[in-house]
Amino acid sequence: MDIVVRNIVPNCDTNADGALIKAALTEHLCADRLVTVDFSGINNVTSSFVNTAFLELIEEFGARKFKSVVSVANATKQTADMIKRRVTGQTGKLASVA
Amino acid sequence: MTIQVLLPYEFTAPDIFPVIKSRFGRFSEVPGEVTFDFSRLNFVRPSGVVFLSNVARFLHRSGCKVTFCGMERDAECMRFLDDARFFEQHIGKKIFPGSHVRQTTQPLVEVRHERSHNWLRTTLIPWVSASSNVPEHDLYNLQTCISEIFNNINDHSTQDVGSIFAQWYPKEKRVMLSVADFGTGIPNAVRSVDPELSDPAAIMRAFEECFSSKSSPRNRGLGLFDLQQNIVGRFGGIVTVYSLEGAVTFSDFQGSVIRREYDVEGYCPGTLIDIELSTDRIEITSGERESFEWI
Repeated sequence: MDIVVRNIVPNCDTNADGALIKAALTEHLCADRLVTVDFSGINNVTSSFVNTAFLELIEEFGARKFKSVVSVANATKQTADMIKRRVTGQTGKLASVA
Repeated sequence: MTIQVLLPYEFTAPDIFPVIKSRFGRFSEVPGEVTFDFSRLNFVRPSGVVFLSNVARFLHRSGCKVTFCGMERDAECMRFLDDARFFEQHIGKKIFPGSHVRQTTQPLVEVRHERSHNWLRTTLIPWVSASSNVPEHDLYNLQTCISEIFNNINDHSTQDVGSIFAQWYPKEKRVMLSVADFGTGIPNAVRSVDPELSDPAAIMRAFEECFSSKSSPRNRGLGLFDLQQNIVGRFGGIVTVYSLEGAVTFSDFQGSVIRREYDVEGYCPGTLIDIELSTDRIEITSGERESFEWI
């Protein structure tokens, strides 16, 4: 199952944009259903967007579940780097707390 | 009472800070009328344009009558300001009949949060790309850095006053960009969680990884850290942040980010960020998109 980001938000600039993607992803995580987040047509993402769309879900569902359910497609280098760095950083942070 | 403000010979923001402090203090009171006098001005940089624009806009919106004088001289700096649409925005008309936006500048723009990200996407980045021959997809990091500043302005600014101006230097393949707000200033935001810090130390703290004043509960303190990592660490550029009576300059030295904090002479209401980078340091890629999973 794919979530096409562009069908939900025109761009990924703000926390508010991220909140809409988070809401769409939450359903999949609750149902334990594999989901690909497709960034076709999106050029870049800010840290505000990634914080809300992805990192809050890691806090709520745990890194293991998030990583096993969510994958990313058609991301530009900036988008891929930002998501990987943030998700890895958050995972490490939670692991060190645990 | 009318306050006369004689602008200095050089028009960079740090040159104007002392003048602003001597005339307005910390803006605890707004005068009834202010006249900015350009008659001595000789040299203009983007930071001066955005800073003065913000001050004039703030005064105007606070009910002060703002006028300008000494700008009809046929001097290159006045033509530059006119081409940058400074006077068009502040007095509603150009000074010189033939004034037009130069190919090497992005004219002065007021930052309104709801439009700012789109302006980056549709105007600034295509212009930098066309000027520098760097493909747009290799400028997405630069675009994101400026978007982070806009988000920061939106989070911290109580005044809806902000400006941005950019200039391209073709011989050096260098872009210089200044963005400023008229908010509470980075040091005041930082001191809400770390009250003992001086202005320069507070600015430095704001750029540490994962530091956030939590002005918005979703902030994680990564946007400003990324700004210096990308502009300085990745592109070898220079970032200077002025706020209240402090400043920090981030620059590249043999691949490492060097940070220098210092007091400024005068006063910078809000925050002003100067970004300078050589586009020939930007890696050119194929722009191919990627897909990945973690496990």
